[in-house]
Amino acid sequence: MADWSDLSEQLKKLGVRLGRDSELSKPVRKKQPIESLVNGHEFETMFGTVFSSDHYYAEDHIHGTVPLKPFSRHDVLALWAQAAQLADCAISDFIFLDTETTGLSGGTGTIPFMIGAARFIQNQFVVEQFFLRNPSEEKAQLAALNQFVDGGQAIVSYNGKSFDLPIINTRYILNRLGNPFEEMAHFDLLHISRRVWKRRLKQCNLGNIEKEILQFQRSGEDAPGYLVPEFYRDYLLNGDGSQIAKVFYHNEIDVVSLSALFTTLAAILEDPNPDNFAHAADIYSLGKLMESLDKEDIATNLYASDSLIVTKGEELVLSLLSRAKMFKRHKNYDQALPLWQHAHELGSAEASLELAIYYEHLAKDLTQALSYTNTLLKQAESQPSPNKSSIEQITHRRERILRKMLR
Amino acid sequence: MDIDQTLQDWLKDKSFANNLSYHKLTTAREASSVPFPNSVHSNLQEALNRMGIHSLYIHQAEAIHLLEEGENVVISTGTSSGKSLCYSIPILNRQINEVGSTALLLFPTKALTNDQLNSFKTYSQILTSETIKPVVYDGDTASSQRSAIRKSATILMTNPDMLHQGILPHHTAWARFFSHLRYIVIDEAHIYRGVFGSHLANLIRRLKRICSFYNSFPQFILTSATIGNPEELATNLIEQKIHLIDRDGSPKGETHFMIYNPPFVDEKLGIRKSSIEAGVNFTQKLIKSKHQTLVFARTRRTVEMLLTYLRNKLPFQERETIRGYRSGYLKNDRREIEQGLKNGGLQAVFSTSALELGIDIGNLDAVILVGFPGTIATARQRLGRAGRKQQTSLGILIVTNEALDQYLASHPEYLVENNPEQALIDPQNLVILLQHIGCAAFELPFSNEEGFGLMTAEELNPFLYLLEQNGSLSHQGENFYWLADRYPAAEVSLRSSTPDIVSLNLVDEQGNTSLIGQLDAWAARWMVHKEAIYLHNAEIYEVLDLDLEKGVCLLQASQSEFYTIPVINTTIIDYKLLYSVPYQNHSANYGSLDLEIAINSYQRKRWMTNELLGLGKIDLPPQNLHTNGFWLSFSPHYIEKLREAKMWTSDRNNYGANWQVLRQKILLRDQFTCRGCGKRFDSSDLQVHHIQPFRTFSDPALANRPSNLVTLCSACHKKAEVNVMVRSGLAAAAYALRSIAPLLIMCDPEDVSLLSEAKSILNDANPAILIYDKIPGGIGLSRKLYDLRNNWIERAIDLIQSCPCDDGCPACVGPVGEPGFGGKKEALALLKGLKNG
Repeated sequence: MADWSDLSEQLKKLGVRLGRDSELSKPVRKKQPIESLVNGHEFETMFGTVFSSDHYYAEDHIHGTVPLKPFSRHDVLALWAQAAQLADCAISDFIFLDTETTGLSGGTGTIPFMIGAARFIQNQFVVEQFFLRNPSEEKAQLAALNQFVDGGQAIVSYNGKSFDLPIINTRYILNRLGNPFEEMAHFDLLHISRRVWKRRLKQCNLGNIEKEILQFQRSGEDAPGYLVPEFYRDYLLNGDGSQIAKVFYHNEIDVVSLSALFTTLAAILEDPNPDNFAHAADIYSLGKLMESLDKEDIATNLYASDSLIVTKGEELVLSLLSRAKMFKRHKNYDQALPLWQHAHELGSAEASLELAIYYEHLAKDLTQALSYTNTLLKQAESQPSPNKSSIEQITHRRERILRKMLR
Repeated sequence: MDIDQTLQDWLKDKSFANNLSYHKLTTAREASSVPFPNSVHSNLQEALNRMGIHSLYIHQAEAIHLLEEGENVVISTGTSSGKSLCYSIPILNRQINEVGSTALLLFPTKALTNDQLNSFKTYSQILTSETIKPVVYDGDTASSQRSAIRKSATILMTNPDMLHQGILPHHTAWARFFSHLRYIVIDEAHIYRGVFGSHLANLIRRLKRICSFYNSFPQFILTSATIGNPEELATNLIEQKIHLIDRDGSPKGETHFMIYNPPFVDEKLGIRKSSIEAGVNFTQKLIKSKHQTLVFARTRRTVEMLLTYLRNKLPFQERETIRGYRSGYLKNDRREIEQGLKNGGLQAVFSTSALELGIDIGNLDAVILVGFPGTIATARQRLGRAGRKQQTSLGILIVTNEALDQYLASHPEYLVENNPEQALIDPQNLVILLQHIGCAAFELPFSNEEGFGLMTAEELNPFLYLLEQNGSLSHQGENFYWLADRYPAAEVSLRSSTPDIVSLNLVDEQGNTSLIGQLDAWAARWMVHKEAIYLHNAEIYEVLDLDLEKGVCLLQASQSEFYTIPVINTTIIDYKLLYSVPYQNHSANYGSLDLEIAINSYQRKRWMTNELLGLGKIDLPPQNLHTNGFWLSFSPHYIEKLREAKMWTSDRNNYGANWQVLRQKILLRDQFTCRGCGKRFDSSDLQVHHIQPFRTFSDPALANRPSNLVTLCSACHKKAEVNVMVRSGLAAAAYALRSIAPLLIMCDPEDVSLLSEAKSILNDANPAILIYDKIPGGIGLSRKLYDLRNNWIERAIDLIQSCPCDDGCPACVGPVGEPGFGGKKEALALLKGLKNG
């Protein structure tokens, strides 16, 4: 194509900078066939064949410290995922999904060059990694994926709701193929992991969860996430497949961890026994989660657990307040009061407020109300950077109580 | 009081009447209406009736009819002619008959978008339709609503930027919408010219490509202000056949149109009385007679001045009845103004921009334009705001001393009859095109056999290979796939000619910065150089700093009494001739150029009077520009002819009272030696020559400074004089041509540059005048001027000839201090000779 070099000259004259990517400087070699770089097989479809790297785990394989296959039911997890009807769904109908893409921006130009999918088949955990040796194989890739996930009822992913699934859906539309995931429920474990562990862990990306919760250590053969697109381009454009095996490993472990994580979460939610937890933060978080699922008894059990109380941490005050709030919701002030008292003694401004409100409007004991309001005011004023509007509100309350007392 | 009455009284004032260069009364026009065509669904007809519409104007009916036939239309009738019904009826009709069909509407501003949204919502309610869902989808749309919009919206109103970045690259999320897309509306299409228009044309190519993927082939409906080439522009934008509808059937009240030319204050220098003063006076007169008046000015500064001056003249309690309006106003402010005008609470509104006012302020008794707003299309749109039904209205254009203003004052037909302005685009501009090809490849892979827009696969392939070479695309088998991890749409600015942009950051008094806009990095050099006074959305800013490497420009609000114009030095490095037409005295040439642009200084000019106040320095490295241009090459024997015909004679002999004394002094100083050839001569054979011509100075003392005087013998003197004539004649001709160019090609001053050279490499060291597109790769401007060159030259001649000044002024060949001043006669002779071939 002689024309483009002339075009290139023209554009240079116009000040257009091309060649932003460093790939231009890399030598271009003849592409190594993927079969020589990773183990796998060809998947036959009516749109051609696609390469997939397959892995087989025993269903009781321990990943880190967790077995792959759930040993509990997953009723509560399904409830949380707004798919309560899947409580009785067999684990073999869950599809564990993770993709590797050419970029992070989403949109129609982002290609999932590797789609890792896994499910329990008979007594094995089977992982298939459908890989694009080049982008023209996409239709075959999707068709193969369809075959593999046939009969599936639910997707399990990590951040799949915002990332992987929209991209996969886009690919189906672009290739004019039926999308099997449209009818499936979606368990995006990122969201529930955050609910349970964010308080303690701060970073809830899959890598950290894998390390801290599953206690799995990846081998040195792992590719860092941000280099994945570059490794694929090296393979595809420059014929350099030296790093591509790492991408397969990276994706494989992602998918396997998904299963172990699912197992962990299902078990925790199904039997949230506070004794099973080493961290007060986790107990409290779980309590909140249960509360949001309207399982107040279970929540209370967690909030009131010895393990939580003994730590005397921040979670103690929070759990007292949460318990009190539940009682208040049911108008059970007798039970709420001692909890607020306890929290107030521990210095909780919110507790002081609740008590002030209770005594002013319900018990009609203005002396007590005033006493708690005064405590509140003192607390608010002694803040390093006092909040003007809170102080205004508390002062307003105080004056109202005083007015009432004078009547 | 009736406007006629007010005017009658007014015209009795000689000081007013004598300065009117034009006054025309256009009689009222009845509507040309027809009943609803049968194709309009009965439910819709009923809904229209309920909204007070019982028939259609002929242009509306024509649009509906053509659309029914499957055609594309561009409607170019005047302001307030009911253009929106031309698209809203077909859209609603279609969505009643074909449930689930969709329409996409592109608007340039939020105000217009919101007005249309309300209108569609109203109709949807009256029709009690559950399926017709009008929505606005733009940067302000809450993310929580976006999903629902994608699922069910049928009338989608958005803007080009959102379409470019937010919708097209995610088109699969809009699969339903695109699959049922029947109409695409492009409102105010005339603004899509130049760089912006070229981007939009490519955006439409991408849009059509995506529609085709979903098997839809929607029809296009464009609306445009009255310009010289609506059909051509529309055709170029959509690359399909389109029908022009320009017979306006809407009723018009009786209107007076006047052009007021403020009288001279200094005729020699071309300075006229302030148009702001006139604007204030006229407004005061009008509101006194209870006529609601809308006044448009070019900058916010002018608006503020008008407001202040008028308020000072009014009694205290009336001051709040006058309001200013500028861009960036919030909905509440706009509503207040709308209400104020509707209920008569406001007597006058001063505004900078017409579009932002949206539609709902209705029409007023009088509109005044303080200064010509830059294009005839805009002037007409603004003047079109005057005119209530059954009542006479008034439009006044107050011109300034600038060339185009003065030209229109003596050629009012352009404002009232056919608009010669052409809106031009060049979708094939390489830089712009390449960016959009990248975006298109991101959206859908390109097959080897595929073209882009009207480009064939063969024409497209080099671009795809280029993108493959730079790592963006991967060519596999039959297709090119996007493979980079970048998001190409984010790197394209639709208003910039190159991908490099400079952010405009406003610094406030507290030192906080906020982003107010973006600018093409290429243009940033001369528009926002350090110390430049920059106009953005009619607000005035001063540039504190420009960092081209970082792409950041810092500005602050400015109260400056002057504006700045960069002095651009162009050096022609190389050129390639594409077309050339020889004539008797010259040749007309068009080709590509390699230029070096150096901007070393800028002029400071007073607002409104354009008086030159001084120069400032700019410290920027020169830049290369590869673009297209059109140049006139003058043959040396033509210059000789002109000189011999005494067209280019030496100037007057009156150099002041003490000239003889001065002359002796200089001869003595130079020892009776000619400074040209170095030979000694007798006093009678020597002449004292002004290096910079006497008549280019406003003050004789400056002209006669010894540093400006030099001894020359007769022969050398003649040569020197000819050189001066040539230079000033060329510069003067260039100035005139430059001033009149926008009349033909609807460009901003920043878009083209003129260069005149006595010894140009374009013409073997002979004189030439060059005009070039100041945009890398060109955008079609100089090309059009090449095509229209005879017309262009005629008008420049006309401009110079009809100017009453002696040697030059801002209205014809340039003010004092500029190279064209003093070259008036020469310029005229030079240009006239071109007419004869």
